[in-house]
Amino acid sequence: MPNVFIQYWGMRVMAYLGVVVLLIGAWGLWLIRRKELATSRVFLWVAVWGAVLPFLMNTAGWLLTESGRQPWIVQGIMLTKNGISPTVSTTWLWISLVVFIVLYGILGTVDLILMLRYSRKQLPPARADSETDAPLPAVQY
Amino acid sequence: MNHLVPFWFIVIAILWTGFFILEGFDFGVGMLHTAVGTDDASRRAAINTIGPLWDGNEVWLIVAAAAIFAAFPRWYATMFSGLYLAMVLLLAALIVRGVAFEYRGKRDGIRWRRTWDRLLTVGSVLAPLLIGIALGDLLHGLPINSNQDYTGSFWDLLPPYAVFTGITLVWVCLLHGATFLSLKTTGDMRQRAGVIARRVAPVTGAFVLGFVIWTHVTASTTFFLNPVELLAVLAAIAAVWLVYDHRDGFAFAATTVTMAACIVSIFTGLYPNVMVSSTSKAYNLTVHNTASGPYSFKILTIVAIIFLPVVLAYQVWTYYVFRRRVSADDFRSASPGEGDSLRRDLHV
Repeated sequence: MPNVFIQYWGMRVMAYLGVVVLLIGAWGLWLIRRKELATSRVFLWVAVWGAVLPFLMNTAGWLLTESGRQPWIVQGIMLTKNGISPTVSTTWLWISLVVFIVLYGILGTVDLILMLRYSRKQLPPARADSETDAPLPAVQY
Repeated sequence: MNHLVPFWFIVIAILWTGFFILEGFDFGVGMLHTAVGTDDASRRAAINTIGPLWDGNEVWLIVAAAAIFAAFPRWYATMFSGLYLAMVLLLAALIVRGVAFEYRGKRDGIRWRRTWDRLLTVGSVLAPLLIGIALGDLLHGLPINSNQDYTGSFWDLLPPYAVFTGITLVWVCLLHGATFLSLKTTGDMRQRAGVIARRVAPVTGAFVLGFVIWTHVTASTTFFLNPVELLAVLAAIAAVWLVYDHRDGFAFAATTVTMAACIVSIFTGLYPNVMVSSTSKAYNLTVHNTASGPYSFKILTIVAIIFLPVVLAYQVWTYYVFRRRVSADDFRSASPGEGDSLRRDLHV
């Protein structure tokens, strides 16, 4: 059966944060109209940390559907317990779980460090067009 | 019998073939980028020959797997459950490789770049090796019982034929990548790609010959090679000859045909089976005992007819936009570093 705590909060986190994001967007549009977008410190601070919200909403939404559908894996057609692969052992599942947690943990940490480094950097002065012989390729890796 | 069943087997074979033709050269570039690029600028140039293309190429893998899931769910269930640990390893290789493209240029440190270089190389070797082993497994046969369940251990996934298939595909990817780099780079890099192609070509040719003979012995009872197998051998010979003749364009065409014929030969050897059971012939998974219902096939076909042209069109367009050669000087003159990628990301 679905877990009531997950259902209750999954729904609310997803829906309320969705409204919050809409409001932040409207706030930004209003500031553009007043030509204060670039100078409004409060808004810019909120907008930066607003980047966290979609991750929370996504996670809450997934918890809502996956937990809410139980005991079905396909609603009304197949039970989760009948969808379990008979040939994948618990050991294999543990191995995959550990591999993914470690891998995503490392990559996530590196990502965070990169973002923090970039956010602390000053913008380099833009080169005048005449200084470069050839335009930079549009996509560079 | 529903005629859409064999049709979707052909579609899946085409998807795997398309995947290996396209991702094959970017695996090759991934393996070779430190060999063709001797300094940071030329390594970046090598990566940028596939930078805008590799993720589109990889979509073919996702679509191939998804098509198996939709059209032949029991094939998918047996394959992906039986190969579970191998799939985890494959995903790790693909994830690390994909991230390497993005992260490598984001910092200047030598250790940073070297780390991502290594991960890109290792991921680019592992991915075709593992997928090749998986495709070899389908044809060679795995211990599968009457319930269509895999009954072996992890090590049973590595029969000699499957491992040989994996290694062959790695070598074809290497040559395919080298001929691609000859076409997409300039100056020293282009020259080095040519030298590498000439070194790799004879080995690739020998592996393809061995693979074709082994595949033929595994799958057929006739003496003579079938047309696809013959084509693989002829294309491999042509590739070696064209590489030594410095005909870059034709050499790339030849490695493309070699790759395609190798993959198609696995699927022609397989049909009407999709997974051979080494336990008993009676337990073979076939297109018929793994197929979805007729309704699923109808929906699948309609969806494919609508979306396949769209996807093909934008992929062709991507290749057209990024058709130019990439020069290491592009990355040298402006000394692009963190500042540039930052400015680009911000569109200033």
